[in-house]
Amino acid sequence: MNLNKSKSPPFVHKNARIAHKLVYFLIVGSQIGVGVLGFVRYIAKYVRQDSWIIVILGGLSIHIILWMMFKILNKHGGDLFNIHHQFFGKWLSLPLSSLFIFYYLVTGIVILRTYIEAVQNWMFPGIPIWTLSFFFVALTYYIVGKGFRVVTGIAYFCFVLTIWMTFTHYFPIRYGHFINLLPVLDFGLKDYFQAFKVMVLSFLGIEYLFAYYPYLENPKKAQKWAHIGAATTTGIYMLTTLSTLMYFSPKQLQGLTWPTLQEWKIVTLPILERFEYVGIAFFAIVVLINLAIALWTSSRGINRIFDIKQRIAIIPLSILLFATPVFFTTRFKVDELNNIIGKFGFYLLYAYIPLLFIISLLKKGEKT
Amino acid sequence: MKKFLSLLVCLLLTACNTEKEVLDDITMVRSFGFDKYPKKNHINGTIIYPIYIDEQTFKMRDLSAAGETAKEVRAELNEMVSKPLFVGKLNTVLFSQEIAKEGIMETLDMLQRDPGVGRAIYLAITKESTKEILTIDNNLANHDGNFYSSLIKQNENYSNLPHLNFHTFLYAYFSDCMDPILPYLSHRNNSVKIKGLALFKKDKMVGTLGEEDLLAFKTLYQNLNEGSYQFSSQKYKGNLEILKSRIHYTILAKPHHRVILNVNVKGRLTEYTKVNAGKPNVIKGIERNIEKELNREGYKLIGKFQKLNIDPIGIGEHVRSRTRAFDHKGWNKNYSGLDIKVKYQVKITESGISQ
Repeated sequence: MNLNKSKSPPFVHKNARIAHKLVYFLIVGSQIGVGVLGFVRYIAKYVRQDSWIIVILGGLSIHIILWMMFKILNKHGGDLFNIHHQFFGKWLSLPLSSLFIFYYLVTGIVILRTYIEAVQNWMFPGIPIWTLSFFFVALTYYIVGKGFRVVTGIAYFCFVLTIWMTFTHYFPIRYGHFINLLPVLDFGLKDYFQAFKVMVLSFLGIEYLFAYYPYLENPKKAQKWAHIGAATTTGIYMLTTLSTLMYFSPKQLQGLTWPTLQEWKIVTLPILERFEYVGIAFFAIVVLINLAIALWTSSRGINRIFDIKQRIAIIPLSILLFATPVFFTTRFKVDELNNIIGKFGFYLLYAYIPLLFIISLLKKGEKT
Repeated sequence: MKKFLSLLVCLLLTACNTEKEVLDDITMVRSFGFDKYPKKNHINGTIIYPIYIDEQTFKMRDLSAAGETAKEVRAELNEMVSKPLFVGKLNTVLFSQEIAKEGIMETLDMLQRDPGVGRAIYLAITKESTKEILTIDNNLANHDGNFYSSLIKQNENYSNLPHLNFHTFLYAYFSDCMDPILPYLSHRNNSVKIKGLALFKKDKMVGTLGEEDLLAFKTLYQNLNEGSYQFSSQKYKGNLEILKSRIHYTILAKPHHRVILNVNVKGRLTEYTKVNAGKPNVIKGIERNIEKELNREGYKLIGKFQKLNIDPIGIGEHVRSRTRAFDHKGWNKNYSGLDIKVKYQVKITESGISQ
C-alpha cells in the first residue's frame, strides 16, 4: 500500500476523459435522487406556502458552492484527495479523505434504502430488502466496473429516460389552487433557516465533482455546464414544489410520506389508469445513476488514497452497499439515516467547502 | 463473471412475480358502499364487481357483509369470494346519509392508506341505503360497473355539479378553513339521480343542497365553462347556458370584516318564453333580472352555510391567502357572523340561433 499516491495530482489518460458538456448529466443525475419524491413535505413543515422561496435560495447557494469548488480545483489541479494532501499533509489528510469515501458510500446506501422503502410501501409490501438491493448493486457493479466513461453514459441515458416525468406535474397543477402559494413571506427568519437546512439534503450531489474532476477533458469549459446542470435541478425542484403546494392543503401534505407519488395518483391517461406505478418503476433509473456515481467516487477515493486498484476496491464497497440496507428495517430508521446524512451534507457544503476555499486562497496554486 | 451476473439478475427478475394480480384471478371491486348495520357500531359494506362468463362477456354482481370497521368488512367480503378482492380499479365509494351523519373519515382512512386506491375516484352520499342503490338494475345501466362514476363525471363536465372527487374531499377535510362537500344521490325510477350536494362539517354530514341551487353554488365554488341556469319571473321563463364564469374575491376592511364574492358570468340564452329577445335593451333587462336572482340565491346559500357554520366554498382560505399572520381559529369563530356579499355580473353574448 502506497499512502503517498494522493500526493501527486491524478493522471487520467486522454482517452479515459469525458467531453466537458457531459458534466451536465452527471450533475443533474447525482443531485436528483429519491429526495424529489418527498422533500417538499420537510420544507413545508417550516414555511408552508413559502417553500418555493427556499428552493430558489438553495439553488442559488449551490451555484456559489459549485463556483468555489471549481475555483479550488482549477487552482490546485487534481481531485479532493490530492488537495487534502497538499493542504493538510499526509497523515491529517488520511482520515479526512477516508471520511469522504465513507460519506460517498453512505449517500448511495441512503438512496438505495429509501427507494426500496418506497417500493415496499407502494408495490410489493412483502419483498425482502436484499432482493432489490442485490438487483441494484449487481447492475451498479457492472456499470462502475466498466469505468467512468460508462458511468457518464448511464447518466446521459438516465436523464433522457426520465426527464419526461417532469411534465406529469401538469396534472396536479391543473387541479391545484393558486391561493395556496399566498401570502408570500409570512414566516420568521428562523423558520426559513430551518427549512433551508432540510432543503440541502435534496441538493447534495455536487460534491462528487471533487472526485471526477480530473476526468473532465476541459475543466474550465465544463464549469458552465455544471452550473447549467445545477440550474436544471433547481428548476425541476421548483416545479415539484409548486405543484405539491398547489395540489395539497398544508395539513394534508404533512400527512403524506411521498407527496410526489400521491400527486401521481390523479394522473389518469386514457391508456393508463394509475400512473404512480409507472413513476416508481421509472424512478429505478434515477436511483441507478445515483448509486453508480456514489460507488464510483468512493472506489476512486480508495484507489487514490490507498493505491488499491479501483477494480478491486469496488468489490468490498459493493458488498457493503448491498448488505447495509438490510439493517434499516423500519420507516423510522430510514428517516433517521436521511436526517444524519442531510446534516452532514449541510456542514460539508456550507462549512467545509468554504473553508477549503479560504485555505486555497491563501495557498499557492499548482504550476501547470 | 459477467455472464454469471446477468444470469443471476435474470433469475432474480423471475422471482419477483406478481401472479396473483392477473385479471382473471382477482375480484375487481368497482364500487364500494357503506351503510349502517342494525348491530351497534357495525357497518354494512356492499361491493359490486364483474364476473366473467367468457372472454368477452361479464356480469356485474353484488355482495354485502357487515363488520365493525371498513377493514373488517373487506376481510368479511374476501371470505365470500373465490378470488381475492382488489381495489385498484375502484371508481366510486358511496355512503348512506345515516352513516355520513356520524362521520366517514374512519372508513375513508382505509382507502386513503391503500396505495392501490386512486385519488380521482368519486365519493357520493346516497339518500337511501347504498345497498339499495348499488343493487338496482345492474345488468343494463351498470353493465360495465362504470355507471356511478360516469354519472357523476358527466354531470361535473357538462352540467351544474361542481368538480368533486376523493382528492377534493381530503383536501377540504385537512384544510383549516374549508369543509368538504360530496354529490348527493337518490333512487329514482329504477335509476339514480343526482339530487344535489351533501354538506359536511369536517367528516360529518350536516345538511344538503338542492339541485336548484347547484349552479349558483358551482359558480361560487370554482371557475367554470359549462352549466345551465333556469331563471323565471312572473312574466317569462328562460334558460341561460353558461359559457364562462369567473370568480374573484374582494376583501374589505381588513382584518377580514367584509368579503365580497364577485362572479362574472358569460352565457347565452337557450330558452326564453318571450320571442323578442333580440333587442339590446331586452337583453340588458334579462341580464339585470338574472343578476338579481343569482345575487339573491348566492346570498341565501352563504346565509345557509353561516347558519350551519360550514365553509364549503373555502372563503376562509381566500381570506388567509390575502392576510398576513392569519388567525384561522379566530376566523372560524367569527365566521357565522361575518358580512359576506355576493355580486354577480351577467353578460349574455348570444341568444341562440333564433332572434
